[in-house]
Order: sequence, then C-alpha cells, then structure tokens
Amino acid sequence: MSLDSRDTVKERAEAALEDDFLRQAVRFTTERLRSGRQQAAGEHGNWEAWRERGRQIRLHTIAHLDYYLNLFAENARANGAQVHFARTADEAVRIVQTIARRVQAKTVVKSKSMVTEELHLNQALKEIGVKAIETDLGEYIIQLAGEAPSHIIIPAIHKNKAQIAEVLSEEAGEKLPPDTKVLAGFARKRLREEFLRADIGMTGCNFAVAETGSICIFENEGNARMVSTVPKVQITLMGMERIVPSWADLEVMATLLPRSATGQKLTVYLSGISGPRRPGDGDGPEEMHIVIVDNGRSNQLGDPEFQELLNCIRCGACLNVCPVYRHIGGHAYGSTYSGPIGAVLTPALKKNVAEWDDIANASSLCGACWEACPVKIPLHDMLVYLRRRKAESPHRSAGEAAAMKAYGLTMAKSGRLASALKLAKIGQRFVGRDGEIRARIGPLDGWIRHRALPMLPPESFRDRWKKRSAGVAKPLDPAVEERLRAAMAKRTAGGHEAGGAAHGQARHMAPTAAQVQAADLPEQHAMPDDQRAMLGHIAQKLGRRLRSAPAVRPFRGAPDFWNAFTLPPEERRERFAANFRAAGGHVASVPNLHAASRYIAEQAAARGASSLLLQDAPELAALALDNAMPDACLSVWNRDSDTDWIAVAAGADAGIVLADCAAAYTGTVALLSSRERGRSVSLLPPVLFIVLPADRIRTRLGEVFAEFDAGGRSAMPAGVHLISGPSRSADIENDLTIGVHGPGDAHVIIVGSSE
Amino acid sequence: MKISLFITCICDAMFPGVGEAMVRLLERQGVRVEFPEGQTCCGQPAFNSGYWDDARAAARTVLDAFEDSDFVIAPSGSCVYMLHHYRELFKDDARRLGQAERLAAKTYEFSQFLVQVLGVRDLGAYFPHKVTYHPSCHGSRLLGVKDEPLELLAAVRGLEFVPLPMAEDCCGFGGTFAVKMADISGAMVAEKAEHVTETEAEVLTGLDMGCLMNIGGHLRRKGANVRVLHLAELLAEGVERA
Repeated sequence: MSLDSRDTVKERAEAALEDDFLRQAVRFTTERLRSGRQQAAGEHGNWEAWRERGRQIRLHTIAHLDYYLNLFAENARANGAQVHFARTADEAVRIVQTIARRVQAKTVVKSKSMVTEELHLNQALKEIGVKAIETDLGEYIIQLAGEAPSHIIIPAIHKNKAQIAEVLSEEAGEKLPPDTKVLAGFARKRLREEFLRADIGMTGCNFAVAETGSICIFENEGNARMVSTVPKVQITLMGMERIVPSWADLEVMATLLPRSATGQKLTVYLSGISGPRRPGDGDGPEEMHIVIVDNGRSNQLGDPEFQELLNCIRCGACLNVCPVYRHIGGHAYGSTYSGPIGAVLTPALKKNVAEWDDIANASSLCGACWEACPVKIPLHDMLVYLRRRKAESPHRSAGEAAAMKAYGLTMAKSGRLASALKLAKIGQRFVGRDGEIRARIGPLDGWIRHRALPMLPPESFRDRWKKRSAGVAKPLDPAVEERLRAAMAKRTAGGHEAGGAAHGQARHMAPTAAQVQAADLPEQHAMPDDQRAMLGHIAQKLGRRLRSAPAVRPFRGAPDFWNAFTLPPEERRERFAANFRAAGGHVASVPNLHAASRYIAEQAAARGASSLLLQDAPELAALALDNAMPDACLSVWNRDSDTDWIAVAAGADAGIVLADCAAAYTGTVALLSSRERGRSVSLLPPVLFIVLPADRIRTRLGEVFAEFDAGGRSAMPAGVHLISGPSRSADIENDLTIGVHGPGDAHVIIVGSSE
Repeated sequence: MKISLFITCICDAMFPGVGEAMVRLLERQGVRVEFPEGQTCCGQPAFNSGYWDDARAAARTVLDAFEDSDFVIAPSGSCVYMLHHYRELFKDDARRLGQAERLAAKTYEFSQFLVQVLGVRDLGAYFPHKVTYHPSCHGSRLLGVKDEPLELLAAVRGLEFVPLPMAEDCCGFGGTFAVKMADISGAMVAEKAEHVTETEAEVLTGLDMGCLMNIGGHLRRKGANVRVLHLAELLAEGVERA
C-alpha cells in the first residue's frame, strides 16, 4: 500500500501543498460535506442536546466496555455467529487467514472498513493467495490505483474523473470515457460478478448492539448488503469500542452519524445483522465470524486525557472542517487515519513515544474539530497532551526544549521580560528595515516567507504606562461600580456566565470507577480464553475487576423531548413521501392492493421489466400480479429448496417486497428477513417495488427500533434492512451516481388509509 | 474595586496602541483601570508546545499579578482562554489551583467585558468605512465570544459591515504553529487573506493581535491596501471622530 513514504509530516505536507488539483478537490468536497452537516444539524434542531446525549452514551459504554463486549459476544454466539477476540493486528490477521484457508477461499469481497486498513489485511490475504476486492466505489478505485484512502468516508477524494477513468480503463482493458455514469456502470457490472463468485464477504462494523448481538452497517451504495447477503461466509471486523448497549441507543448514533458525515438524515441502507442465515433461509451467510480488534485501543482506557478518543464514531466531520486537512489532504498524515482524529489516533494507538512522528504539531489548535464532533471529543486538547508527552520524553527536540526553557526563565519575572525586549530592540536594528524584520534566520524564516514581521516599536505598553501621570484617571463611576458588584455577586453565586464554552462541561471520563455500582463477574463464568484475556485486560486498564452488570444509567436512547415527538397519521405519510423522494426514490399512494398492482404493472412495463421476483407474503400474493401482468415472468422467493434463489434475484428485472414498518422523519422503510422474505429481493434487481401498508408508518426511527429492544435477541431476524432511497454514491468527483450496487430505481407504494 | 488590565505580551511588546485604546474606551465608560506590572505572558506558547513546566513559570506571574484584582480585562480571547487551562497546570497545587479558579472566573476578553458586564454596546463611535471582521478561533469557539464584537460594530455610526467569507476558518496563526509548520500555516493565511480582499473592505478588525498580525503581515506582503485594527483601536478612533 503506498502510504506516503516521505519521513515527516512537514515534507509530505510540502508536497501536498504543491498539488493544486488535490487542494482544489479536497476543498470542494469538504465544503460540500461541511455545509451538508450544518444544514442537517440545523434542520433537525436541538443539535446540542443530541450531541450531549451521544457523548453520554459513548462515555457510559466505554466505561463499561468489558461488560458490554461480553454481553455482545454472548448474544452474537446465541445468534449463531462465531466471535473472536484479537489483542493485536497480527492476531486479527491470523484469525482471518485461518478462516480463509479453511474454507479454501479464492476471493474475498470487502465493504468499507477502516479497521481492515489499519491491519493491512488485503496484503495479508494476498500473501496466502487470496484476492481481496474492495467494493465501495471509492475504495475500489484506490485499490486499483494501488493507493490508500485519504478520507474516512470519501476514500478517493484526491482523485479526479480523468484519473479515475484511466485506472478503470486499465482494469476494463478498454478505453473508458471520463464520464461518471459510464465509470460507475463499469464498476457495478464488474463488481457484481465478484459478489456472485466470492467465497467470503468481509465487512466493517459501525456499531454493534450488545443486547441483541447485532452488527450495524451504515452505507449508501449497497455493497455492504451484497457482501453480507451473497457469499457463504461472512467475516466482520470491528474495533472493540464500536459497541452501543441497545437499539434505543443506536437511534442516537443513527441521528448523529449520517448527519455529521454527509448531511443525510439517514444513509440509504442501515443493516442490522444478527448472526448467519436461519435454517431454511435462501440467502445470507451460512457461516458468520465477528473479529473484535484491540490493536492499541486499550492504551486509551483508564487514561483520563485520552479515554474519550474511544468515543469516536468515525464520521469524518472533523476532517471536513479542519483547515489543515483542507490544505494538505489525507495522505500527508502518513497513516490510515487522517485529519484531526488521525493526528490524535495514530500516535495514541502506539504506546511507544519513540514511534510518534511530528503529526501532533500539524495543527493550529483552532478547535474546529471539537466544535464539529458529534460526540464532542476535545481533539484540540488531546493534541496538546500528545505534545506534552513527547516534550516530557527523551524524544523531544533539544532545540525546542532549550527555547522553551529560555522562554520560561524570561517570563518568570517581568524585569527579565523588560530586559529581553530592550535587547531585542537593539538587535532588530541590524535585521530590520522600513518597520519590518528582514532577516530570515532561525524560526523567523518560516514566518517571513509568508508574511511581513513588524519591528518592535520604540516603547512597549509598559514603558508608556509608566509615563502616564498618576491621577490622570478619574475614579470609578458609582453607577459602573454597581454593575460590577452585581456581576461579582453572580460570579460567587454560580460562576462566570462566560465561563468558557469548552470548559463549561465536566469533560473527562464521566463515571469514575468508584462511582460505578456494579457487580464483579464471577470467576467461574464460562468464557473462551481469548475473550477472557481481552476483557480482563480491559477491566484491568479501567482499574477494576470484570463486570457482570453495568452501572445504572440515568439515560437510554434519545433525549426525552424526542421520544415525545409524534406526527399525526396523514402528516406521517406526507413526510415519509417527501423524504423518500428527496433521496431520489418514487412514492405512490394508492387506496388498495388492486391499485398497487396496477401501479407496479405500469411502472414495470415502462422500464421493460418482464421478469419479477416477489417475496413470499400473503399481502404480495393478494396483488394478483399475474392478472395485471399476464406476460410477465413472476417468481416467488424460496418456493422450493432446489433453486439457487440468489441467482434468480440476480437475473430478475425487478424485486417486489413488503415493508414491515417505516419511519416518516427519515423516509425509511424497514424490511425484516425470513425464509419467505429473502434479502436479495430488495437488493439484486435494478428496480425495487416496496409495498407499504399505510398504517405501518411511524414518526421516528426509534419507534421501529423499540420493537427490536422489546422483542430482545431471540426475536431478531438474521437481517434487518432499513432503506431510505435508491442506491447512491458520490465517490467520483462528487457526482451523484444512482444505482451503484443496489437498485437505482426504488418505489414505495403506500397502500390504504393512514388511520 | 480593582479593575486590572492584562495587556498580553504581544500587545505589550508590539502593539502598545491596542492597550492604550482599550484604556481610553474603558475610562470613557467610567472604569478606572490599573496595570499590575508583575504580569508577563499567559504561558500559551510553552503550554501548547507541551512544555508545561515552562508554561507554569509564566503562569505564576499572571496568577500573582492579578491575585487581588476584582476584574481582569485583556485584548485577546486566546490569552483569556489560556487562563482556563491553569486549572490543569496547577491541578496538584491546592493554593495555585484556588488562584487559578478565581482568575478564570474574573477575567474577561475586552468586548465580552463591555457587553456582558457593563452592558454597553453603543460607544458613540463614528467610523465611515467598510469593515470586515475575523472571529479568532479561541475567543469565538472556546471562550464563546461570538456576538459581542458584532454588536459593538453594529452600533458604530457610518460603518459598513461586510461579512468575511468562511470567517470561522482559522487564519493559520496558531502561535508556534506558524513557525513550525510554516508552509501549512502560509497556505491557511493566504486563503484567509484572499477572503479579506474579496470583501473589498478597507479595514479588517478582530480581537486577537496574533491572528491580526498574521493576516495583516500576509496582506502587506501581497501589497493589499487593507488597514488592520484591533476592535479596541477601531472603536477608540471612532470615538475620537464622533
């Protein structure tokens, strides 16, 4: 992988600063994402309350990480998944290699995962003769180009259309024009073949729900759905901190993550996967592995300055607002993670200060990252802590240490400062001209290269103050004094009203170990060795024994004001339709199934779709499509066990599915998988018809999730798929591409009255 | 009642006019200001570079100089915010920690003091020029001083305010950052200066001389004809012209 091999951030940054295309591309994309985030946060309202709740949930989960990881692992196993714990990158790689060897895999299709980048897993698979294929459009492009991602969510942000056309043309063996539609079309076709033939599907994990053992993936293209639906074996790699306790808590993350990342209300797909396919299912993996990775994360546990780093939800908002990232792009950071989060995470993941480069210095400490962060991580403070740790180590710069020592000595006494200024005024006579310092010596060079440096004026403020005749000032105005006394009274009563935005909150490590009332985990509790080792290590880092119960927490899920929010039925229908359309989908409202059938027949005919695949549901049978479309070839999912139903779905022109429920506020339908309700039907055909009974439309996503929490693990289907529009990508020069991997043509037919 | 001026080292050494303008404006409002001579620097250059012992050496002068002040006012949001970090610097020293808590609570950035404490917005200034404003990061984002300078500017007669595009983006100063990562900083200030020239403003104002010296220095290098003034200087000049 060609991470930039130049030694220092400074050198890499200098090269990046000369790359005009890179800077232009990064500016354009980050501005689009930044304004998207601002708009989405503003529109949603109460953004600060959401951020605070997100932060509380993350703080609580990390403070009880051993408990929640254990709960997750037990539930995931009960769902039929195999759970592995990897303390190091090497262990994680070995686990994956062992599985790949055992199933004699030739190819692995991968959806986006920063952890696998961190592990350099593609290279490790190549070494054992397995080809790993990135399937996220942006990742696919940079993999073909032999590069590494330069942005957490827009990996190919640094490439333009002509460069992408060149890369894809080489793969295609023919000249492809620099046209986004053509390029995306080629990738769709090529990767579709790979999905169908791959032996293993590999995913990352945005969040894992501990109480039901589900892994959750947010995406727009549908490739993560492909990867977790088509191949026989699924391997999910997750950083050990990716846990949320419940689906109610996931609603908060689902509110914060897409809005912060791209400004979307929700990503097109949100999939919750709870184990391998159930007996009799026609799709989904037969074997599912979850690899939980530490790889330096536990260095942060129990460290009051850095534990909050584990709260990160990988949205990329800090990159998009960072003025440094804006000018140098991602590769200059020289590591898997770039931008402000990368500048902190990269050194923090390594325990040894000797391995730290100068990345923590590449920040003006402006705090834009902290302000944009959906879980309020004080990255600007952490950069200072990193600098301090380096300055206190033998690896500090001797020159800087000497300069700072001199600074400290000078500033320790005002008389010394005055003498130093006197000296400087004499010295500057030799290097200044026309009120400007001209000599480019030492640290002055960097400054003077970009800006003028004014000379010191002949008199300092304190010189001039001394010359002020005493008694020149009038006494304090009594009316002013009254105001000042009032301000002082307020101060003693409850602090400074302007106490400082960043320090106004109790920031570090909310619940301390002592405050947590929870039971230790009994020693005899049966637990595989790898699990016991990792959880024991976590507990030790947190300064206590393993937990069998979490602390009681005063909050769960969304803020109260939000849980009380509900729209009247008719408004729900309208809001749902408006949102689904805004995402590029189609919505029809019809009085009954007969009218729905007519709509489907007309739309299918208009698209030349003659082969249709239906999920097996009484509501869909009642459409009586064979009457409405006498010439069409209709099949019903999983009607017999001899057919390869995934292949049928891949060959169908359109899929017809039944929605289990919907959320109006985000324009989302939820589909629950079962033997009769295959996931491929809503994924593989290019056209999708979703039949949604009007009385199933709720207001909030949380109402949909509440049913999962209420039903518990045993009631979870293998796949929960939330769909909020047609498959999309903006990975090629920000051009919106519809229908990248999933259906590009998505219709929701709302049937009946809302009451 | 003791109301003290925390001049900040940069204004003391390089921009004494800013301190004088502040004093004139405050005295005009009936506030008698004192200048404790023991003060040096807030310690930020060493603190931000990670040399906290050296930062403490500077910080002690500030803690002692203002120990018996009731109010402390400074022409910099960044230096004022630095005082909030004293709680971290002296977390293991009960006496200094007490001083640090008191100092953070009684210290105000200049525009914050005028608007929040004195409740004054209209200083009676007249300044018939096109003006744009750069909100410095630490003052606006960390200290939370966002509206105060805009309210003071809005009350100036004759002043035409032009918003700065992408105003909230850092100018690239960042103290030692401008020297250590000079080229990244240079790219940042170049973009900031472009936005300033785009506004066609005659005057750029702000609340932190570090940032203004950075942007002003780049504008000067480019030969741009923009006057760069601390808000206190602009207001003091406006009061004289009224």
